[in-house]
Amino acid sequence: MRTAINAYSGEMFGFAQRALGDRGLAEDAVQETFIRAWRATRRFDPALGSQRTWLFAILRNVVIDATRQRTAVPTAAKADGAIQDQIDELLRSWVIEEALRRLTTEHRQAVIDVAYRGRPAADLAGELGVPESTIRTRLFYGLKALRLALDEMGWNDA
Amino acid sequence: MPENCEHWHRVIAERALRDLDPDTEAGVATHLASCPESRALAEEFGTTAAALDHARPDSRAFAADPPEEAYTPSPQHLYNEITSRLAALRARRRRRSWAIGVGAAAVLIGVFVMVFTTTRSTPVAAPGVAFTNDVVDGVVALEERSWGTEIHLRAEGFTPGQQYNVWLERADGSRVGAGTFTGVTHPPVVVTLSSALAESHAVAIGISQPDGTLVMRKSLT
Repeated sequence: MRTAINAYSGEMFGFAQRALGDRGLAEDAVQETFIRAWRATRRFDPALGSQRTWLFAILRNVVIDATRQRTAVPTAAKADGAIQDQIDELLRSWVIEEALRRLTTEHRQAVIDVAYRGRPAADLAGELGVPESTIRTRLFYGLKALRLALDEMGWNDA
Repeated sequence: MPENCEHWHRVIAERALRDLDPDTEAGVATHLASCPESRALAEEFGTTAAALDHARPDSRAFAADPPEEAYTPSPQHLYNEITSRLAALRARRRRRSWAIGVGAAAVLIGVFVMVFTTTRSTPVAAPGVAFTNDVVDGVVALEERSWGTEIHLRAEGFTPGQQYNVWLERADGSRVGAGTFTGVTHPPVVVTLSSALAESHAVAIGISQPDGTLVMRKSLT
């Protein structure tokens, strides 16, 4: 468990804090996640997914539970579904951000400038004083690395 | 791999992330039509680029130099907190097990006491049969049990210190012992005795002295 805490607790805390908006609740959620994981260790099957994916699946449920508890409105089924959708989308955005963060600075910056700011590779090349082919190569390897990171984090394209 | 395929792979990467100008797009399309490997790459890049749509506009990843998430609780702190919570959970579980054990024992004891007292000290629930003669005067009640008959006797007139035998009598006149008691002057003798003979088989109850002298015999039929 100590290894898992060392490896994933920071990332898990970050997501929990983003989702719950409160450091205390976030820390509590991370603790609760590891406790549930410890109690369900026998159900973990590495063949089905990585330990990180498993822990985040538990954390997702913990965060949903915590959000429900904080919701003043009675939790009708519809509200429950909305909370789940909201947390799932938040988790997906968190995974993307984390995957982007794993890229090298050059690759990440190239991907972000082109994908989110719509800047042509030629413009970036002029700005950075490098050949256009260099920017496209960064995009190529950036997307390759991004796919690898997403796969490692159990990303589902569906 | 068609000539200059590597060049087109780089262009395909940019194409996955933004719209290209019409001339470059036409060049890519022409190349894709003739290169299965590039088509597979375009598909892979397409799905990866689609995933980027899930990022939030305020993502920290968009910063030029994305900072590590400010993180106060250290892994060691978390580990300590988690292990102490687990220890508390285990202690609570142990206490619960103890409580369940103690509760179960209490219930068992309660049931035992209830059964025991019901069996042993129920006041004469069956209608009593009064008897009287020149010597003794009293009332006796019989209760059928799975093991025979329980006899509740309350009587007076016995010789103090004298031993008396109590028995039930079958229809054929044979007797089955039900125990003994010692006579007292006062207060009345109140005893609960047991006989292996079923109440339904008993036609009379009697008391006699050890030498066979009959003190009383009362028909139950």
